[in-house]
Amino acid sequence: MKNKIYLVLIVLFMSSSLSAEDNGTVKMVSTSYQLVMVKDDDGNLVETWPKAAKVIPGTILKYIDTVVNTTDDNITDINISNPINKNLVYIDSSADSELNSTILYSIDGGKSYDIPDNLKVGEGDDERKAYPEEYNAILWSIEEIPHDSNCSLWFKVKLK
Amino acid sequence: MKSELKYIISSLLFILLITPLYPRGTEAGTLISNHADITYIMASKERNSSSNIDEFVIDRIIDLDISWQDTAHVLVGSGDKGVILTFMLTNLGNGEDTFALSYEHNDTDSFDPPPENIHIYLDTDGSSIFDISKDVEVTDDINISADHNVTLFVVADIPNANDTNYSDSELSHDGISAESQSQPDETPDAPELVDIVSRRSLDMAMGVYEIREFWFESIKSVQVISDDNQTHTGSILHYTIILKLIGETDGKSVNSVVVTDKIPDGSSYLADSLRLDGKLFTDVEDGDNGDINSTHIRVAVGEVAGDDNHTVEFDVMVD
Repeated sequence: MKNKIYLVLIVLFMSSSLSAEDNGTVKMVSTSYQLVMVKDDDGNLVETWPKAAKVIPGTILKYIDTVVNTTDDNITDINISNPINKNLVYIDSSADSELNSTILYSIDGGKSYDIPDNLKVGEGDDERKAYPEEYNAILWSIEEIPHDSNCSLWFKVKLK
Repeated sequence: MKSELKYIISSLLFILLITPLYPRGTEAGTLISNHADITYIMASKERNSSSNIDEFVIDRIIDLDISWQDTAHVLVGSGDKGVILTFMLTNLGNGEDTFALSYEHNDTDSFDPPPENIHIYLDTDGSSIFDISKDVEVTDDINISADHNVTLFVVADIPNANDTNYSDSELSHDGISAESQSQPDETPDAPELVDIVSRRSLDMAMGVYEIREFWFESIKSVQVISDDNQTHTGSILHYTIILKLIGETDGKSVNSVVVTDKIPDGSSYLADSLRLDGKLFTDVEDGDNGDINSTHIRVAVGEVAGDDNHTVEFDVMVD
């Protein structure tokens, strides 16, 4: 009898530790792409975004972070932060996402985030709104990503 | 040992002379990494994780600029030696590069024969002013760090007027071409390798020599006066300085010409020998146009016009 109780407890413990993640995973993949202009058949220049490889100063890059939820559960209250490398300059209004999101920016390396109008640099008479080039981290807030789905978010930068 | 020391000093000078600019780009080979962090709630539990780290290195761009620095045509006269055109070569790439330099001349718009005895010199002290005692002749490729520049000089002689057909042109276009010696990579890129990409590997800048319509020239000569025509104590040296205009001198003149000349070391001025066009001056400052001090003679010639030559003469005795 005692052994049966132990067995039931072990099964209960294992089932509780087997979260929905164990039925799948929540992963995030970050990939860099670079802007390459090519001519189409009509001779028009069109944008292409191959994987970043031949990168030189001035190259425009696009980072895509993709959240992959292969679990059986929806995930909620999602916050995704992406610091901007010091050799990169954020391109204004380039951050976006597939699902509705609130996008905030940081000028203190990700310690705090706010909307652009509230980001200030300098003091007193020298205080001004931060330029997009001065942003050094981005935060996306998304309400929900359903189970068995993906959500991509992205931003563009220019290499100094 | 001496030559090694000279080489070391030259190398140090070369390092010092390279002028840094503001950064034009991230240095080749710099690793650019990116990752994102995520927090979320699943099954009422807060969780977090991080993405992979996306990485690549910055490739090396080849880019350069060479430009002529003189603000106007460099005026030259027939027979001038060592006339200077000044250029600046800038490495606009994001890594150190090696450049081959070549003298360039535009044959289609030039006085004939063109400048000769051409040499390219490197400014070694950052002065941007040619100094043959300091600056070094470029005989090999030169290395320039990213975002740095060097000043270069084309030094040339101008052929004598008798040999030169100025009616073709009063100008000569001369300059320097600079070519990167780096070879761009043609193979597909690997993100973790520094490839070489060419934006511009060759550039050229031309300066302009312009023959002056006329120019002022002074020619100094000396005649030894002694019983044996040899120079020794007691010999008299008779100096003659001829002043004249050369070129298209009709109606032309230069004004306020003053001749000063050093009394040679080891000799003494011979009293009452200073003349202008045969006219004697007193040796003291008394209002006439010539005077002497312990080291120099001085003659205020005034205007030199057209074909109107003037001659300054004075004598010294060898001590």
